[in-house]
Amino acid sequence: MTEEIISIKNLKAYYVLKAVGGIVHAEIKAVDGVSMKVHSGEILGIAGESGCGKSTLIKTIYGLVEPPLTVVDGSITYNLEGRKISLLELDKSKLSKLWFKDVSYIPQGSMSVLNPVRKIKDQFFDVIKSHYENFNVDEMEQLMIEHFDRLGLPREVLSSYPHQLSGGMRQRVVIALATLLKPRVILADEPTTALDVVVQRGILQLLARVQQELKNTLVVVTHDMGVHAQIAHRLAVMYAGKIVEIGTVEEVFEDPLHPYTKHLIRALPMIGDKARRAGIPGKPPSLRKPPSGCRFHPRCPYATDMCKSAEPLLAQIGRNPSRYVACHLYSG
Amino acid sequence: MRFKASSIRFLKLFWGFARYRPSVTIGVTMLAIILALGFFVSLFAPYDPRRWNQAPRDLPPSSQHILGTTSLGQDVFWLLTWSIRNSLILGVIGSAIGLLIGASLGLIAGYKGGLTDRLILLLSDTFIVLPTFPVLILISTLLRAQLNIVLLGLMMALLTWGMPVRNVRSIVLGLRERDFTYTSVFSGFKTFNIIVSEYLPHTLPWITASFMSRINMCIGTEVTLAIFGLSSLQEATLGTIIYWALKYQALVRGLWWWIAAPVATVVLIVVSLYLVSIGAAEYLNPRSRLYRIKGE
Amino acid sequence: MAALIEAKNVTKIFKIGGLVFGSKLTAVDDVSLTVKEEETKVISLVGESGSGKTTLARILLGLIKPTKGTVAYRGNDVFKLKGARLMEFRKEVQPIFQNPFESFNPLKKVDQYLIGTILNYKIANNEKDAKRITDNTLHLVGLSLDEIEGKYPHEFSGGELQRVSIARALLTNPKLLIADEPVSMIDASLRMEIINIMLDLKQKLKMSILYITHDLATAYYVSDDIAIMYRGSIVEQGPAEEILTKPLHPYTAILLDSLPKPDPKNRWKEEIKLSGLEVKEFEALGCKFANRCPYATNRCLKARPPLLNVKGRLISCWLLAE
Repeated sequence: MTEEIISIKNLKAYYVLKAVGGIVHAEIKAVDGVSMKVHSGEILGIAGESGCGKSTLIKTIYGLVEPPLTVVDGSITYNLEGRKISLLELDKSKLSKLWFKDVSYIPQGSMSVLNPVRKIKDQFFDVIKSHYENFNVDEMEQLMIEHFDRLGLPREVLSSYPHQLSGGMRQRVVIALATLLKPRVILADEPTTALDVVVQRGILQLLARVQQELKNTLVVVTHDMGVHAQIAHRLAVMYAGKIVEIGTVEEVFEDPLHPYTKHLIRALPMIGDKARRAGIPGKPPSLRKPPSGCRFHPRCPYATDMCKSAEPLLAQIGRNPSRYVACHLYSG
Repeated sequence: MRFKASSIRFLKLFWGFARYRPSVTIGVTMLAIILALGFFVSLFAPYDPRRWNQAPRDLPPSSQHILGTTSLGQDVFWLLTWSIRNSLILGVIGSAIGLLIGASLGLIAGYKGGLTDRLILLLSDTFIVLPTFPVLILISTLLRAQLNIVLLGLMMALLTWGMPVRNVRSIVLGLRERDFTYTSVFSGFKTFNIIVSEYLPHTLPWITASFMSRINMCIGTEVTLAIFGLSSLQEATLGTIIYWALKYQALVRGLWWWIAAPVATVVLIVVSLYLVSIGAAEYLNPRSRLYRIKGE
Repeated sequence: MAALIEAKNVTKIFKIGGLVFGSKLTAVDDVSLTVKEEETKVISLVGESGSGKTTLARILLGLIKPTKGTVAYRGNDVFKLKGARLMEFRKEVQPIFQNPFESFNPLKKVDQYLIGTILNYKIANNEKDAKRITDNTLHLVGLSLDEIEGKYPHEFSGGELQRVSIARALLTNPKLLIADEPVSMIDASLRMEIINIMLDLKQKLKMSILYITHDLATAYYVSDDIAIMYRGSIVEQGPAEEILTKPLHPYTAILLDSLPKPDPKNRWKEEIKLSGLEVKEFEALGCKFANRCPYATNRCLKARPPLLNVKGRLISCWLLAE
């Protein structure tokens, strides 16, 4: 369980905006020095407000790096059954061989995956064909029907067009597509945002079930802490391009260390509790000119002078090898 | 005070537009040259270029007559400058008036819906179905003597106003169900205000592009009519030059400059308007506009 | 005294598809709802997508005509109002929409809507007074005129723009605010600010709010009364505290259980069964939820249960009809 399947070292991915003539005039530091490991067979949650860089992080982990997104520093290493693959060094053709088969990505919004003018069936054919050229039509159809049955999707969906399906159904189709070729790693970016509560539960339980059956690794990015609490094993909290806390999901919820994590959890309303809840004061920081020192200091109730000038490093807490926090309150 | 501010904004917008893309810059430059020729240079004509026997006949281009002369003793260059002016005026009248009627009715039909919508569509569809060209031939044959630029323009406007109606209407139909329409309604704005201040800006890209392509269409139609001798033959338009050149068999007789000049000019106008209209549609598209405002 | 808004047996049927092969979708199915002026309450209308809640909201606002049934504003048919009466209605009943970026025309400056509202409803008749009133109202939502003047919608964050949207609705001093999923598009951690604003406004301005949402947690936090909708029908309705702590309808129970509680020790136990093709549920002969209901009987599949008054709340379920 503790074998690393993805190792990320000091990753820096910026959106580099250039003026005419190639002169750089702004850098949006979406991922600014992230180091972490994803363990094989786990469900890892990445939490944070929108605009903190978590979507960029997961896109980069998938290898979907297109200008203006540029990887400025760092490395991403995959460890797939002994093969060590340095992701950022792969060219487009090698990357596309990896996609859907070893690593799958579920982006925010089903319509960015599904082609509106083709039937679901045909889109599945395309994916299978691009990886297994020798399959004939019947074999492919068999594969798809079995997969749909296993996921509890009605067979009629295969002969529909995306617009004929509801948002929830489309998302389930996208998950089916992402899990079809049994990839080792599934990266999901806000897989259930904008979906109904019951559909959300169904999809999350589906993802968790797939993970259990295939014994693969699932990384879920979402701002909804409730989602993390329900399905994640470990949780990483991200703020302004940096990871500020890591731990098992029980540890983080029971005893949140970073002030931002504390706020994230306490701001959520719960049935049975009518106590007044406070929102987090202030605005999410600009990734162009992030605050000095600790990036959370303008909104932090415990900020000291050191917090304004020195950036706290993500450090292990005590003896616990899985617990990390980037906060001056806990160092030294 | 307000006028000054908005005209400065307009100039800034235009300047940004002209630099938007190479194709647009080329188009705008070509258009500027053509407009200069037609509306500025033409004022300096030493005499009325339409008059016959003002210059020696059939002369090839030279330093005295830059584009040569015609078999009727006209200087081709000055004739061309007046023709550019007239063809453009005709095109603008035909395009603008047709667009004004069509777009207004399209806006109303889209917003009101129901009976109003159906009546307007009935009317506009009837006009769309009318075969423009045969009708124009008919009218010009009947009005032969009284034909002039303005009348030609009006005729074309009247026959082509049907087309913008459906286009503008569909843009409005799309906008009508968007939440900001409801916000406007609950902010107390009345129908007319909503149409003008909420919807019109969204139709501008289409209207701008349409305006320019319609000018092309009008100029082209005039040329075609002229070749059949059905235009306003006493006026100087690009079509009429071609008419007279063909009548006097200019090509066969080796007077290539007489035909080349107007044809080349028509091509230049069409191409430059096309480039500018495509660029304008893109530039003014609400989404790309936002993208640019954001980038500032 | 006539109720502020009274919807009686409202049904809305949409025709989807073409003229020949199209089919009908009953988005709102025989729904009745009353908002009384004397009681300032927050009523939540809770349902998932396809429940008809947004369609119902638009009908109550007079923006969509119902196929059957009536909506009355102080006793008058909303859809027959004209002129000054219509203005009165729109003054007293104001909307807030889900997507703040759609609520404003992206090509218009946001303050134009605010100043416009004041001038159009003659709350002030010159720009100076209008600006002053706008500024005061913006303070109610934690903003000021200086902060928003001259800006386009995209220059704001989602949370800020939604607050502007609320401020705009408050300018006419409405008696009822119909808020359609006002916080769905805002980050979970920022939602509470806006919800708290809504609660404060209810107290300060003595204004009722019809809060439409799919999020039970925020509904619990703000509501006095709650109505749960499924596929166009109200299935359970009554005092919020009771219904959400002791749900009777199976759908309400599943909805509550499906909330992702931020407590890893309290995880979902059963795997939920999701809908097949949703259209079939709308056309069901019996209870629309029967196919997914763990307690469904034959009777549930064959006949629609009526909305009955049981234990102080309205509920539509054969299990409780006896």
